Amino acid sequence: MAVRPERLFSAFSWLAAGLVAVSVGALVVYLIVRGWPALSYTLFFGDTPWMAAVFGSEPVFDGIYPAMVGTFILIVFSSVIAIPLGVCCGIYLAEYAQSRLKATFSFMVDLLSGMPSIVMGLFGFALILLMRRTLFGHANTSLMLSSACIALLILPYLIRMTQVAFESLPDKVRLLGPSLGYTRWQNILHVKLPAASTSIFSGIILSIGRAAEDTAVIMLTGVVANAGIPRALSDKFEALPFTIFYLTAEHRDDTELQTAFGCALVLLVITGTLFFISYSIQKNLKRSWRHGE
Amino acid sequence: MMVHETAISMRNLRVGFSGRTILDAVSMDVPRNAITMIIGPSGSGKTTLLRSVNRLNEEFAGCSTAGSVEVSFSGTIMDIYRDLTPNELRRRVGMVFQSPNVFPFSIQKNLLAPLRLIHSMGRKERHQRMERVLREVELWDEVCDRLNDNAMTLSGGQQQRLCLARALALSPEVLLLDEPTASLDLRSARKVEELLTGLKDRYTILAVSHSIRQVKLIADRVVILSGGTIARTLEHRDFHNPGLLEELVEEIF
Repeated sequence: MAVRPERLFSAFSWLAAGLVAVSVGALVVYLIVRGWPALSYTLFFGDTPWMAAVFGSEPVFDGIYPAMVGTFILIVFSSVIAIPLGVCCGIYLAEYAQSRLKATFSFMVDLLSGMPSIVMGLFGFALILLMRRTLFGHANTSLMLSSACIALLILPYLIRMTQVAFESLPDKVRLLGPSLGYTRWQNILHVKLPAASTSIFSGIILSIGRAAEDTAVIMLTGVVANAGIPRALSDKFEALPFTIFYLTAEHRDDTELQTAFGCALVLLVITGTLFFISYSIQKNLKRSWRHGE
Repeated sequence: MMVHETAISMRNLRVGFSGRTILDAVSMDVPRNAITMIIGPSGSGKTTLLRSVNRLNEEFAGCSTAGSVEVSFSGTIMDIYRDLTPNELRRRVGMVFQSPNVFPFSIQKNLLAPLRLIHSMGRKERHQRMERVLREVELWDEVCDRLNDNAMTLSGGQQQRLCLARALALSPEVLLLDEPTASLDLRSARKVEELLTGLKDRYTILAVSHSIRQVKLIADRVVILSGGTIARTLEHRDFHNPGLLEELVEEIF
């Protein structure tokens, strides 16, 4: 009889794992089935020749290429801001912060991670209003503001993943550097960071996904329906999640809805590519840590 | 009879963590160029005593240390809690852990990286030092053609010898060994024991051991620890008294 709960639990675990796999599989298949027919030259570039679109000599009116570029820049720029900040902040909390300060900072990070993205967007919008009324009369919502707000949105994931990765290193690894006479900085850089890198990169991948999908923040901070390819970080921009949102919300026939599915498929490919790039960076970093001198 | 001068002198050492006393009023001398082994039941403070010599206890939150530990480095006696920073001290006091603790990097990087970071040595000098210490621990012939392989691919015994080589590469004067053969099979353990016997001519060795056989085989002095205090100290000559060590261990454990 004692075996029964164990079997039940094991069956439930199998079921849970199976459900996740089936859900993800079904989602991807559905997206491909609905989105694939929409994939065409016109979806990306409309009537504009692709060379002219890529080099920016002609605007793209009916294609999603500007939204792809906008999303790509948004993810890269927000990651450039958030990754170093988040990783360093996580290291600070794990390695340097004293108990009281650590508790205060941890509370703030938790608060930030629990903040709805629309609030983050509102904060960005309010910031621009404040700037316009004070020192910068020409300040406006833009790709830079969106990137900064998205960076703020993904920051807590990066901080927590880094902090937990560092704090959960076993004593065996933790003591190795100090036992050899490494300084704290040498120990962090040459022992702990390589040992914690897998978890930190998981946090980075999670953040990239979050940065790619968020719509609420960018709606209030710089995204518009027809901005074209952004030429500067101070420009307004288009982004795939927003394109998907307005195409779905305002569709009049099935073709327009299918276009939204096409966009979703492209967004999935972009995030997949970025996941792959960060995975490759992680693998190369690990290789350089393992070998060499 | 050979008389050793004192390399490490502990006086009234008291170590506690978050108010809980682990070592209490420990006073002992460790002779130079000899093997001193600490034995005692679990929780008696063996590892804490060992780590008080390289101040590694301070890596744990809530550690407090009182009393003095003096170490003679190249003839100069220094109070390690007053005269040296932990990093300066640890560069002169090598340590090998209970289970093999290699970096998950290549075999050569395990040796070359600490040499680059601690001693800022040039490439040629580092490679020479690496070969010398790998020969010293009799590992060179086994790994010379696979130095770029991951150190984790070595057997447990080889990994432990690599850790010993890594400690030796930094030219310490004192070696601390925390049950260095505990996770090894008998053959690998014998190999490490032979190495230690050979190394004691050049290094002062303080080791924690779990094996009476090992203690009788290689120790010059034995410190029996119980409940955070020293219960008894024996010299190698005392081992000739049949059954004494076993009786004491029986009584204390």
